[in-house]
Amino acid sequence: MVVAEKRLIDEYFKVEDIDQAGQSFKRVSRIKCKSKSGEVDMELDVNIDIYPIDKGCEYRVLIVRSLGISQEMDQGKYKPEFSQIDNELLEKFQYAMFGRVFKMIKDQNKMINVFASFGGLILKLSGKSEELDKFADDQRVYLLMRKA
Amino acid sequence: MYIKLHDMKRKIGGLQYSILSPQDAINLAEVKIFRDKNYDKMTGKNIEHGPLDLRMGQSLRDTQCNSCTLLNECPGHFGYIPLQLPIYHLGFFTHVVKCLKCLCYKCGQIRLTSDEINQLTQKMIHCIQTRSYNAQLKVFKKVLKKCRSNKQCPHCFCEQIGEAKKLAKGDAGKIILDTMDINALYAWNQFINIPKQHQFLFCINPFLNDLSDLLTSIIPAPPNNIRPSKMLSNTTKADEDDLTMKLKTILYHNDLLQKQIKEGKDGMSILKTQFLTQAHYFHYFNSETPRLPQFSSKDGKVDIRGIYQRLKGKRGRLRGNLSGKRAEFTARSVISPDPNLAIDQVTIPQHIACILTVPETVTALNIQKMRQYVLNGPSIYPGAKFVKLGGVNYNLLFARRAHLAYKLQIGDVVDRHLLSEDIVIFNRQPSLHRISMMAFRARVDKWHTLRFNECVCTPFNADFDGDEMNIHLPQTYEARSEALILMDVKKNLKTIKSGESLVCLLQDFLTTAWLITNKDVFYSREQFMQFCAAFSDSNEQIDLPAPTILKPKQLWTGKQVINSLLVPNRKTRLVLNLEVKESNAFKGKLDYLWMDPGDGYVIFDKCELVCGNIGKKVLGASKLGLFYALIRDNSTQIAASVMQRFAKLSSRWISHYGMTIGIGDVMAPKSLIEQITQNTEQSYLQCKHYQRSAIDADPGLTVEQTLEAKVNKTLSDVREQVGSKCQEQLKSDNKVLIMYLCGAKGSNVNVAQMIGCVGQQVISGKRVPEGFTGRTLPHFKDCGDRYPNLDILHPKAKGFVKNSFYTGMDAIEFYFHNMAGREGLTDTAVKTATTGYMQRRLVKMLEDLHIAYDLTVRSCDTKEIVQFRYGEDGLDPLAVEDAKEVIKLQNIFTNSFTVLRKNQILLCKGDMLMKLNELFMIIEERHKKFLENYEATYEKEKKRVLALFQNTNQLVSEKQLQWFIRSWMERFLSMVMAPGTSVGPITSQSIGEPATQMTLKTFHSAGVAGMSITQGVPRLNEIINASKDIKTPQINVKLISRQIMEHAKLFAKSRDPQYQYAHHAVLQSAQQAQNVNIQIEQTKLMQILKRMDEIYTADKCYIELELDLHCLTQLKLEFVTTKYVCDLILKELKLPLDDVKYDKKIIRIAVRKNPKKKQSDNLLFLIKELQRKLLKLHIYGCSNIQQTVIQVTDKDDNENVKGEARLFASGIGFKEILRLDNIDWKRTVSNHIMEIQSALGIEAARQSIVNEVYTTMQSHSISIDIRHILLLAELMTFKGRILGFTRQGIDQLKNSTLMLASFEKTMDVFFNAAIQGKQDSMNGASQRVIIGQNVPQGTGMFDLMFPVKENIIMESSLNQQKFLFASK
Repeated sequence: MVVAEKRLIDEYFKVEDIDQAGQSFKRVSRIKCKSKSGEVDMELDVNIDIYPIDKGCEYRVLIVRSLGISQEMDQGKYKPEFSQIDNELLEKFQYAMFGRVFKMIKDQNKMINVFASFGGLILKLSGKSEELDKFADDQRVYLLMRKA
Repeated sequence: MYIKLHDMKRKIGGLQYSILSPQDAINLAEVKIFRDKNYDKMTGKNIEHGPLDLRMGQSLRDTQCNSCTLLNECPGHFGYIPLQLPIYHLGFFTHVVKCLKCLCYKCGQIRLTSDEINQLTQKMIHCIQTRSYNAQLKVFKKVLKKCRSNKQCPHCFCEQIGEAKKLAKGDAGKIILDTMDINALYAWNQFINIPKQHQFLFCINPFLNDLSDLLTSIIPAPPNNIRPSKMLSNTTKADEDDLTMKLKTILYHNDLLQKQIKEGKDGMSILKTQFLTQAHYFHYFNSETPRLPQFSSKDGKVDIRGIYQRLKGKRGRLRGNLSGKRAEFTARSVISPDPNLAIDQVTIPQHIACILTVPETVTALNIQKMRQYVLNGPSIYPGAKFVKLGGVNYNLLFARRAHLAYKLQIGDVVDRHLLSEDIVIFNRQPSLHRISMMAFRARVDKWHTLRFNECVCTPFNADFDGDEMNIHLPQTYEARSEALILMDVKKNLKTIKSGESLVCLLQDFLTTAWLITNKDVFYSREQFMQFCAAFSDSNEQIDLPAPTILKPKQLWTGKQVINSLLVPNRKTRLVLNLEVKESNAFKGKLDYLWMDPGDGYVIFDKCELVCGNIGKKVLGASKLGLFYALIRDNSTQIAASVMQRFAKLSSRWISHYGMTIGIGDVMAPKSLIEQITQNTEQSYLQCKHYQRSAIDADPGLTVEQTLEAKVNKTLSDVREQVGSKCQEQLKSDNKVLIMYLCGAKGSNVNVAQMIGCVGQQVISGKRVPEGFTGRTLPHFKDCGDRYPNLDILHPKAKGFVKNSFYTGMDAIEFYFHNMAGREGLTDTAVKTATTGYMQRRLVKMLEDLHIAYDLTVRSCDTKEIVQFRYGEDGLDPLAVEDAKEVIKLQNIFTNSFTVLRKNQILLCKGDMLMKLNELFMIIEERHKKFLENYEATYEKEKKRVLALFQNTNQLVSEKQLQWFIRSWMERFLSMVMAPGTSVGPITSQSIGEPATQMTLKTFHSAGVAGMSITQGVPRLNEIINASKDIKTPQINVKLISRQIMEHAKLFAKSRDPQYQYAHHAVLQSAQQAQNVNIQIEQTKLMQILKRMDEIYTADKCYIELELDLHCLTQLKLEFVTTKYVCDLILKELKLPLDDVKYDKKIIRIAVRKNPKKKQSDNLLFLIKELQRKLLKLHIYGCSNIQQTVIQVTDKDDNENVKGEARLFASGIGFKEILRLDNIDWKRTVSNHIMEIQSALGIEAARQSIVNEVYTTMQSHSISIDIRHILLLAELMTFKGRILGFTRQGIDQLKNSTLMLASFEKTMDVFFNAAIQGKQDSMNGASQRVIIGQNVPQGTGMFDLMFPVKENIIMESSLNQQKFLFASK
């Protein structure tokens, strides 16, 4: 199991809207979600071609700094062996992405906006700073998703 | 003692022009020529003392010079022809006339008092001593004027009977005085009697020439080899050169003259023969001399090539052979693209490589190879063509190659074939700017075309539709290294005209990049690796990144391909942080730009493409783009290699993708067709609505014009609307759409025209004009209801094309489309010619401006200072990052976070600023000497740095601060212009080259309706020529002062009465504009008349005028009374006082015949004439203002406040308007530069040149660095008056004869130089090129100094060689 400190967020999100501004891409949709607790909002680009998303459904989203496969992998390097990853955590989830936090913006009312890019697929998390305080700029992250 | 290296060589130090005196001509000659036969009839040999005497050099190939022993190297020798009677010289003819005007026809003395003579002589001598030749001409004008005003000769006191003149009609070359014919002999006798000390007055230099030298008594016969005989094929006869034939005729007439004189013939026939000799002499000089007697022998034949014709013009000696010379080691072929080549590589066909050679010295290292080359000889590649063994040249085509190869030793020179990796210079004409010639690395390959990477197309302006380009092969190591350092493609990625990276991705490369970075592009590992291999040629180590999607299956995104392309492996060092808004960015408001749903916002964060679909904005030639950032933050080398990788990836990726266009791509789906039809129908209705309803005229326009403008706008907008409809409706895989969206090719309009609707056809800015009465084509008539499509009011009748290129135009539409198309073609044809000439003038005038070692801008020739500091700050336009921000500090600041290792100890703000000051101190100490020269610029930049750190919230570490300051200083140091830089040519190219791109007129009428402003090339021409008579002069009158305006801008936010007052003032400005307008707009009599009648009585007739008092009140011209008008009539029309009578309302003008003049005019005509004049009588306002328009601004921006009224006056009269009350004279401007100069002075004129050139360029969205325009304006004004880029301007500016001769009016320039005895220091660029020396600019500016013993100099100065043509 991943050490707790490496978990950045672990929440249940409800998909409220898909492609709010109209569908711009065939295979990628932007989903808009709200956490179950209501503390965190999330926008995320998902490859719906391989992982269709249902509106109104709830998803568990886990963002971690490491899967514990290899340190190199956590730094963004790839080795052919990784093609057959046998990972406990991955097993538990249906959809997984790897990317990097590229911007953290604090606004006036102590809200933090975290932006991460997964090879161009954007994640935006906004919430109270205590919810998102584990995130840091320029941090490599894994995003794991599973239908609740 | 020190001496310059170049002074050791024998070289031309200067030129002294003078007239060839008879004695000089004889001294120069080897032989006297007096026989008029070329060959001996018996022997067939060249006759001695004939025009082809062999003492003048080799004539036919098998003859030999009789004067020197040289065979083929004989330079030729002159002969001389003694004339029986003196004749006028064509070039000095006008000057002789002027000189004769100064003389008393009786006593032959100068018509000046001795005081005047002394005074003017002093002035002349001063001019000669200071070499101020233009001033000398002015003094001569004064002499002429004074002489002509003395109607009585001050010496012999006889009354002058008129003055010497050219015979205006009849034969050329005659001078008359009253009725007398002034013969050359008479003139000669007069000239010879003028004492030397008085000859200064005639604008000649008596030290060099006598006044009588202006007349010809000895004709020098040019050497044989400049007029070679040609053997006609199959005969023994030789075809003689025109000059020889002409000399022969002159000799014949001279001979005849001699006989006539001997025989004592009558004066008339002698003079006739003399005149004929002269006419032939004129013809010999210039066969195009007007009004020459018809020479029967030449009838019907093409005219001869006289001396004028040989020297002048583009192909003449000056421009064709001296300023531009033929070159060896060159090749030319068709070009084709090759994306696999590096940016700086050119493929050269082996065939060419076997012909071009490079001399290579044999060394111990290359001797083996060289032997092989020699052995291979000229036909086997790689071989050699010539070899120099121990000082002897061998041609390897004939020599024993094996033997020579064996004998080859170190130090020998082999002319080997061109090899791969040799440096070549690649060029495409027209070579309008310096990057039209760049140094490339050769790559020898098969096939027959020259190939290079498409990225380099832009600087050459090349495409591959059959273009040909040239190769030059530098022959020396100096040339090669200079080419590599100065002309290398990698060093010329950025253009100096604006600093943008011209070498960049285009067309297919952009498409690839755009498609691959699309958000829904995902690749499997195999695919991903395939593309990585594509851009790296499988030659590079590539660190595969972790996949973006790990589960359900591993997938990489397209953006990751780009990341790998930028940073293939961990060894790559790259700094890249960039944010760019692409053209397809979300138009609405977003909280965070990068959350763009269409992915139109591009972020490169720490060398990673984080988001955004990259297109032309990122990859194109922009200062915001990727390549600019790579060049700036990394190196040109890296930028070039990234570009190459993109090219390689693209060529493979896109053929895999299958980017091909078909008819399906331009077939609109049904829904789109419906929308388009609906759109056009709506516009039709709108037009109809305008046409049917009554509309108010816009300011400055008539009702018809307003209607036309509205209809035109509606119809022109259709195409744009259709374009955006297409963009919305077409499928995302539509190829046309893809090409447009990524910026590869095509625009909104192109898409619309192909798919939707071709749109309104425009001819010279208007809809198609009526060629028939009231209609454009005979098909249309006024039939509104029955045949709506053929109604003259229908948009179609005025050139609206509803069809698309896909649906096809009908006959009428096609006709109109053709009309517009033809306009475009003629326009481009005309513009290329005008811009070409403009470029030539610019270059000629600016060619020798450079930065001297004291950092001022000077000319090479006269060393005059043109600008104290280049661009006013001494910075390099190539390096300046932004017009406002010289160095983008924020960029360095952002980079500082990514360059250094993380987890550094951050400084607190106070420490930070303290440390910063310390660093400044260190830098200032280190670069003390440098910063002295750039103090102002440095201080400004320093302030900006301080401000940045004071205002930032981010904390930095000490190391980071150091890195920041170091990078900042490095940029600053590399930003200054180096001494020697040829800023003149750079400026002329930077302005001339974009001018050639300014095709197609754009008709932005600069904001005001009804007042067009000349734009584009014609406008640029006006400015540069400093025209006094510009097409659309306009004065922009501002009514409220800047201060009030500034206040008014803030009024909304403040309740302060001051602001309220300002706001009030702004609102009042419209009324104010009306008041001012009355003073400006001219009122003519016809506008204020109620009636104008002709009244006839029995004995008299009158014109009766009644003023319209109501109208006068309306125009607020209450002060205009009948008296006022009458005074004006009397003043302007110059009528006798008692003819004009008036009472309170009515003016009565009597019309009479003028008894003084013997007029046969009918009285009726007189009346009509007077009426015409009266109607146009100017009553009030500025007389040269044609039209005024008042405009109220409805937007707030930097220049304007909402509600502010401005007055536009077209016409001239800037001074008059500035005098008026209630205008803000500080902001009121005219676009007439000469007017500004006379009203506000030269500095204002300079600034207005800058502004006008800048706005003209801006209106064509061409960005030019302001420094170029500043230098241009400075050159036009630095003499204290405005000099245009015209012949007159150049004459005033330049002293050098050769330079002027190579510009225009070649012969006139030479003759004037000879008369005035000008000297040429030969320091300018043109002159140095002509004599084949280094130009003292750039790398030719400095020299090597070395110590020598004094006696060496003595020796070298003694050892002066006799010049070939030097007088004996």
